[in-house]
Amino acid sequence: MVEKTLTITNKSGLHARPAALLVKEAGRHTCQVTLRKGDKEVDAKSILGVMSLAVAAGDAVTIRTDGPDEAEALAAVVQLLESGLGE
Amino acid sequence: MVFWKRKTDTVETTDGGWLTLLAPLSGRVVRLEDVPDPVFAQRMVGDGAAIDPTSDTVVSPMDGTLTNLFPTAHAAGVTAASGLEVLVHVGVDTVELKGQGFTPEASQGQTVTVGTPLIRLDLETLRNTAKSVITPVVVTNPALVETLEVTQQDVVEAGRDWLLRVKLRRA
Repeated sequence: MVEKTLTITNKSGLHARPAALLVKEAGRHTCQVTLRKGDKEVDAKSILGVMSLAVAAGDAVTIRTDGPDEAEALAAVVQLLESGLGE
Repeated sequence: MVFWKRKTDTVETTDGGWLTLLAPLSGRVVRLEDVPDPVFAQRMVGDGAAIDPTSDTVVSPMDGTLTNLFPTAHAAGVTAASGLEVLVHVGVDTVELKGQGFTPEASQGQTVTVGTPLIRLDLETLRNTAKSVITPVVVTNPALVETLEVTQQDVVEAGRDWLLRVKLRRA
């Protein structure tokens, strides 16, 4: 299991479009991918789960991956989030 | 001639693996590909249909739990007992309105039944402030879906007519 905490910078946070991009990327990997904000943790492969965190710009989130391709998955998701999810 | 009273309060939600989702708003049915937001039109969020609303209260399309009601109350997600998740997203880019024109009628986490009011809309305001009020209604976990049907009706009535029928994949 590996994890990384980072700050969300895109302006609408993890709303529909950015959340869809994140879920799509998470879904490419076989390992479990979870997203945590505060004390709430959700499945990053579920768009409703991701959107239920109501992540806003400036919030810190933690990505955790657990499974055979965890390192690759974590790197890919972190890169996507740091790129601002197309915003 | 006999007219049967239509059952509106007891929809057979799990008949033969099919789940029926009623229209959460009244209005004209819009194909998802015609929604003026690529994230929905390209089915990135999920598959379904949209409604150009004429009624002002979003009601739950099915029995389940209100798993998402955004702080801005512009979108709601309901999860059925089977795990099927449905997102009702009122309008396009309405997250930017920061709640203006939306009043929550339910609380995140509460149990809902088909027809439970979720969000009240100030449609007059939204028609001026939102890029579009066309409201996508999408199933967000396609992995559970074997077949999804969209109504052939041009116009649907909230809580009364079905909008989507979903056949669940056998586990």
